[in-house]
Amino acid sequence: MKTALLISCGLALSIWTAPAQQQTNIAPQADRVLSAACQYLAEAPWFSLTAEVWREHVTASGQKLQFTRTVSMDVKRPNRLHMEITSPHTQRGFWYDGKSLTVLDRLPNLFSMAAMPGTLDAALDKARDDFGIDLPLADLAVSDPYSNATAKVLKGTYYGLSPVLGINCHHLAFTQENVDWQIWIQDGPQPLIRKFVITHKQDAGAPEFTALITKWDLTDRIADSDFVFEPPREASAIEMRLDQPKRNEDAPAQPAPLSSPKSK
Amino acid sequence: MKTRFSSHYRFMFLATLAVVCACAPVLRAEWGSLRANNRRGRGPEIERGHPEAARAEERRRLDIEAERRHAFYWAGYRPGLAVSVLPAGYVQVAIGGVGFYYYDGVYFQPTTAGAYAVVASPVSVIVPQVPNGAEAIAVGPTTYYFAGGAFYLQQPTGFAVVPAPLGVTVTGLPPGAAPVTLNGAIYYTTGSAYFRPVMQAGVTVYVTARP
Repeated sequence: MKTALLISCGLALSIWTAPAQQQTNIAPQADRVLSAACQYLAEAPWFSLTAEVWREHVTASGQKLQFTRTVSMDVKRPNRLHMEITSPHTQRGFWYDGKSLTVLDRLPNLFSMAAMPGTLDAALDKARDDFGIDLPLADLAVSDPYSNATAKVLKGTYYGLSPVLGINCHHLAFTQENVDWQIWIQDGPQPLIRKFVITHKQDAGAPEFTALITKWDLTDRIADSDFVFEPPREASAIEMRLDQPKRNEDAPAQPAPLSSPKSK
Repeated sequence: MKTRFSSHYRFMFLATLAVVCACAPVLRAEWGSLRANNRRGRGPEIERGHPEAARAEERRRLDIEAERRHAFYWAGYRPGLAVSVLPAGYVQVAIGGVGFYYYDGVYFQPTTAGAYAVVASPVSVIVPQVPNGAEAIAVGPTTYYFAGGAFYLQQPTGFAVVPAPLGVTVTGLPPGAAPVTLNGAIYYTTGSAYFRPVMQAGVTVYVTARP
């Protein structure tokens, strides 16, 4: 009887600890295509792209909604990035100039700045860890896109050619513990990434992030000044808040008394 | 006897499995990049109940809030607008002898021209249902609901409009809130409440404040 209990505990423990053991199994052709695309990207000293991104939201009733935005990104390696994220309801710019990250919310005309490390890789991590900023398509801006993409991959599969925006692309699919992702890479001498999907398979409804990269430019030199933030007229500076959970619990539970602050 | 023990241990086995599954890592994911997903101690390693799971959900919520709120009736109205016909399903509410027509987070009063003007949410009025799409804001044991620029608290007879609690974060301003600079910092005010904008997770949010 005790043996049965021990077996059940052992089995349960092995299930719990199983995710810690990872083995990568990427099909050779998938690895070759991904590696070529990542090397092509990593060797580009600068690039610009325009993408349409969809972010899925699953409502409490299980309905899936897709919210669409246009993303434009300029990157100059190793330490410059400018991104614009736009939709009719949100228009935000992000500037990283090797020293600081500035976020401009164009609709209310507010901006916020935070000091950053001197490389794109470190700045993207600090922005994410300290301020909760996860820039879409940041994977394309890092110094080693291949290692970044495959760091936690368990399995990679090659699904042949398929068209994206009318361009023949190699379709690759990868599995991780927490997400699955797919990538479509242009066939031919310029292995450009044309489509990218992340499936959040552990979340209710498995919402997806999808990006269609509609325009690439790896030839036009981008001036350093393009990555320097210039505050628009009458823009106001605001605090960039550290990313911390449950902030409202610090607040008093009583309604605030009405006050009449003195206007300056 | 043997059958009884067998079923007992079968139950123990299944119960253990159930407990372990409940405690197993829940893999919360970030939005737009693999890099954020793969951060050590912040991606696949996030466990159920870990503060990081709540943080990831909060970041996603903030990110889509600007688009999400447009689905709700109250998002399209602000004081000063008027309608010629009240929306079907409106109810009548009153406070202090003053009556209002109410529909899903929006309050109307009749005008002399025969129309219905949108007015600011009247404090202390009680409505039967919290507006659709209201943000739930937990402050200790208290849950506020925020929609159409008003905070609501549940009461035995419905949901009451209450003054803005201090220090809470909301994703949108009350309709008609105007910017004002106080002590060198920008705030937005409705006259009775003040909101201090801050950048959180790359999105502007607003903290109720007393400048």
